[in-house]
Amino acid sequence: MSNPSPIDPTALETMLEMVGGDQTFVADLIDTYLADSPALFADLHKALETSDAVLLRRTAHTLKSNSENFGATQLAAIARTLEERGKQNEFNEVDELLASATTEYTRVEAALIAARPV
Amino acid sequence: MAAYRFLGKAMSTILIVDDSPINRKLLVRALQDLGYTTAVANDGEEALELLQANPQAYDLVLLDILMPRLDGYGALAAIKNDPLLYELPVIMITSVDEIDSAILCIELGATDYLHKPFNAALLRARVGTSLAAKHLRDQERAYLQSVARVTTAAAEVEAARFDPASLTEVAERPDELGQLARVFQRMAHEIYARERRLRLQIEQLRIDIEERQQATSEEVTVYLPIDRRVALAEGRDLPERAQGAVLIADISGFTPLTEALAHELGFQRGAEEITRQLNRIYRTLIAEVDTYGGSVITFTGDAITCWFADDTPFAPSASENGTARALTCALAMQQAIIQVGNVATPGGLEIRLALKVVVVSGHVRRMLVGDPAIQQIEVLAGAIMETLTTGEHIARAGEVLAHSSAIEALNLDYNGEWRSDPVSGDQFALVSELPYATAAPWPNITSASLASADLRPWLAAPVYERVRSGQSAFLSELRSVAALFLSFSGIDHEGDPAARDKIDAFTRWVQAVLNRYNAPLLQLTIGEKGSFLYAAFGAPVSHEDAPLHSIRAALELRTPPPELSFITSIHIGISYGQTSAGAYGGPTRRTYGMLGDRTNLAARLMQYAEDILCDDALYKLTHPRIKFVALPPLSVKGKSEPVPVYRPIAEIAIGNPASQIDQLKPTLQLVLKVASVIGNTFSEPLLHAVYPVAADIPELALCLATLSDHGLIIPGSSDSANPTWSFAEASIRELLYSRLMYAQRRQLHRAIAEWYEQAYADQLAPYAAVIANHWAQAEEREQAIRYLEQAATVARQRGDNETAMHYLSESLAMSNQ
Repeated sequence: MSNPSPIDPTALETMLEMVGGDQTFVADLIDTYLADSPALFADLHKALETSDAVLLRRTAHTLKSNSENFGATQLAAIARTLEERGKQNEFNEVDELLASATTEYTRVEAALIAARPV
Repeated sequence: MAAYRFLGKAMSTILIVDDSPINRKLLVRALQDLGYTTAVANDGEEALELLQANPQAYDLVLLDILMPRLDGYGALAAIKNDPLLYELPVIMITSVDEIDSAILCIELGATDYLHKPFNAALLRARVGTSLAAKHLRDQERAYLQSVARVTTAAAEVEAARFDPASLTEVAERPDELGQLARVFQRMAHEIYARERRLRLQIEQLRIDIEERQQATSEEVTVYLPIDRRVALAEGRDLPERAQGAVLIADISGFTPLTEALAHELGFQRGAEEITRQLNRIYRTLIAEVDTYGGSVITFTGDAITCWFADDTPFAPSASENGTARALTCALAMQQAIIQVGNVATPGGLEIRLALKVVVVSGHVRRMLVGDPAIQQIEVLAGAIMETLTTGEHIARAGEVLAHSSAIEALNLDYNGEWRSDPVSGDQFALVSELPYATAAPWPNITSASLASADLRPWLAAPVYERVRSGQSAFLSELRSVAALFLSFSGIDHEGDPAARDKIDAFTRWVQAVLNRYNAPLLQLTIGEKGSFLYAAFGAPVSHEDAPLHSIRAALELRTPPPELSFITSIHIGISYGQTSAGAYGGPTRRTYGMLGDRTNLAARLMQYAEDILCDDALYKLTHPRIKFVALPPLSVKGKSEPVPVYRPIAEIAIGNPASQIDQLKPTLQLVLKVASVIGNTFSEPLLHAVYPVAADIPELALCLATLSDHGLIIPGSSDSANPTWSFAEASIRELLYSRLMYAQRRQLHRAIAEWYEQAYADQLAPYAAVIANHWAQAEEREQAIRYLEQAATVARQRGDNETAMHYLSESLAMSNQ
């Protein structure tokens, strides 16, 4: 799997368009995403440890949904897989998936900080 | 809570339900930028709490699917199951991979879905579309609700329980419905105000009428002789045969006074003034009769006939028997007329009214005859009445004549002048002074002591109704009246024990004939040499066909039925003209009668008639329908010129007037039809004004002349500025009116009402009732009500509360329709 940019640049443009080009607002949303995500990862780990499928599904869904907003398609795809696992109450490969999500998030985080306006 | 909202983003509130703070923030910001108001909920449960707390506050829900506590499916299901929320549009927020879920949600009732990540254009479009649909639905619902409210209001107005405030909200709408509601509200306000006003007025009138009835049931009693009143109140019968004295007081000088007043004041005011003068004299004379314990039995034009009974509670000694009191009264009357008999006319003429009084003693029969259901009539009969008439003929103004019977009854040694009647040989003493006789006052009879059932038979029904309802003032009016005098003989009053029964049978038959024409029998006079009766057509209840009715009645009365074959030599005189009809007399005794030149003429014509004679006025009004023979003009007493007279032979069988009308040219038929809408009498200028075919108008005068030749209409007023015509018979008018199409009638009635409004713009009041009727027939209710109210005011001003009440009730009924 090659490693292009972890975020789709058009996503940020779409978002800017949504808020009438208010870059500060987008910056603020990025900050929110970056601030909330560690808690989501903590919940994902907790779900794995306790085999809590519901928590896994819902947390993965939120991560997916949040990531989609910023065009973090790779991370969103991993999150969707995790969500599927939770939905099917299937913990097979969940730890590997969680590890790759963490790695991908690090890339996303860097890219967002770089792309963050202002 | 506004039931109705107008399209406008600022007014639209969108509830965003998402557990993701990022999504929430993003959507809040994006939607606020689009101008919407937003609210947020973190999950389905929180969303439902907000929605249920205030179901009307939100216009759209953006609902995420996967959320803690209650997810999007659950929230959507709850919304769609809530009767207050199910119409609220819901847009599902879905991920691209949740398309199946989105479709499921739409099946569950969601309006649309939105993908994440959000796209500004899609968001704007979907939110906009959903809200527009919602607003459209809201508007539609609000509109239907408003329509329902106006409809309900209409039903409530009809049921008279409408509250104008119930439309206030609808009336705030800026659209046509709001306009309708405002107009409706205003109209309802007006109708309510009007109905309240009418009810109040009617209530007030009812009180007035009741009060007046209270006061006037006493007035009804004065239409009975005072001794009859006392007997009724004490539950006694007056004996049919009684001993005492009769007195006739005949006022002379009224004919010159009538002429002078008519000349100076005109006919109408002259007639009013003569009535006033007559009543002033009557008041004085009747007061004397009361004082001496006499009772006024009958009024005959300008004379009163009174009875003074020997046997009354007021005759304690022989020296104060009926005769003594009658003669004392006669002298007192002569004293009084000196005081009150001088009349100065407005034009400066001095006219002296004088009195001749005759007293005869003996026994009299006081007979009650007539059908009590129509009117019970008291007549004095007996030889004593003949003697009285004889004395009346030979008495001169200013004299009191006492018949020899009276001198005997007084036990007086009379040495004065005697006057004798050459035919009968009766001797009358010219009395100038007497020992003074007195009488105790008549007991005061209040209405309370007499039941209306006892009173009712004493007055002709139409007179009774008016007097009873406090309209006796209204009874006095100048009317076109046909007066019918009928003389008859064939009853031996002294010798025939069945005399009373025979008079009664004849009177009842006459009453039955007259009653069909609503004509009261005003007077019945019984005498050996001649009995006569007097009836009026057209008063107190006016009738368009009074002239024709009087002749028809005369033709019927000419030949009594076989069971009355004892009645012989019937002679009838009829005349028609302006007559002052009204209540005559004083406060303690009154009658309903007619005064007028034409009335006297009828009495004269009776004397000359072979069977029936009528005057030229009646001939002119009825000749198309009656076959007449013109007789040579007759010289009658009281007329300087010989008067044209006619003898009606029979009613002309004109067959079916309908076929006669059918044979007329269409133009003539139309003229009659248009005239029929105006009324039984119609003015030519009005006919011109409303006649719908312009091309015919130059020929209208000719048409009217032709119709007159056909005997269908009769010329009325000869006022060249405003010539009028009447239908020869009301039934002709009814027939033509019935042939008009409904729409035509309405159109014509409207035109006529408008014509009156224009023609009499500066003095509409007297025409208010006529105009109201035309507007009512034109189905212009508002106008009709307005004029009815005005007519009621006019009626009230002249004291005719009954009529006022009738108009008001009519307008109230119309208002309630």
